[in-house]
Amino acid sequence: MYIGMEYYKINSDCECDFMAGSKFKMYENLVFLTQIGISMVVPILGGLLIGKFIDEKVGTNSIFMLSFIVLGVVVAFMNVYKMVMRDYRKKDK
Amino acid sequence: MDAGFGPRIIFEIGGIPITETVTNTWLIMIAVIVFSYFATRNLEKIPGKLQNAIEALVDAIYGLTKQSMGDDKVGFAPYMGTLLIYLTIANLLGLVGFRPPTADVNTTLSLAIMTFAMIHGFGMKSKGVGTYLKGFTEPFAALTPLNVIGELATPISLGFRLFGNIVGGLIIMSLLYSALAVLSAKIGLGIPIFQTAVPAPFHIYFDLFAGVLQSFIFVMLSMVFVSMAMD
Repeated sequence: MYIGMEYYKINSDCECDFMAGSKFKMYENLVFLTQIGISMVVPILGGLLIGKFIDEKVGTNSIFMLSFIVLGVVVAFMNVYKMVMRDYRKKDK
Repeated sequence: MDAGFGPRIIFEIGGIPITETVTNTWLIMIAVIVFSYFATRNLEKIPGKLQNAIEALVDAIYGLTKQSMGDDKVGFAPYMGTLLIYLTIANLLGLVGFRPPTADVNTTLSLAIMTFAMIHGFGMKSKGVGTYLKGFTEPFAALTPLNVIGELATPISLGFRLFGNIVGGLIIMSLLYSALAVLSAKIGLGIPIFQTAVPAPFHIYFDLFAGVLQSFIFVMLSMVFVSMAMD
């Protein structure tokens, strides 16, 4: 208990000690964890809808839909990769 | 449940339908404005009870902004605090029987587009337009369209996650209420006995827990995305 309070005091440079240090970092990472799932889904579904729309306009069978889904998968991977590697890049600098 | 789960149209102004979402947003605006007005009258050096509570809230918001965006971006605290207060009240509106404005994709998506505009506006401002545009060609130029699509996905995922969580809770709650109404009618006491206590734990989870958590997540992600774009 005592150690905890000491830590709290050291890490609070402002008078507003809402959340301190590593505990706060944990919350931030948890928030990102909840975002990973949906940021994987949205580009793929977006690709599906855009591809389907173009297919209907142009009159092709499903070539645009398939290619846009593949594009969506790549974008989804890139988004998640960026999100996960965010902290590593900060350490490099 | 005559027209699905969409917001009801209350009235029309010159052919523009005014839905429950808009009127409930007005209610929140009135409540917040009136509260702010009366909370900031007669501010004193030695704060009273109300002023103490308000100061704690403002301090907490500034602390949160400082922690996640850094000391140099503490100027974002008023916007982020407004967003947090509005979203929390909006999500909790289901507890008192109103339809939460965030159960409408128009509300959540417009808030997400505001965040999107902030990400790119402040990104351009702090990095300079050239450096900002060059950021899209990383790691190499062929990936530019993928980067652009990836950026466009941010507001959509932000807006839809909030909308999905709140509207999901709303649909489950209204299904539960109609099921309980049928059950109560089966017993035939003439009193809606099941609707009194059974929905309480569901309200605690779907409205209180999910509502507060989702508003916190929305604000947190906005802050992190904006500060990431600026660094």
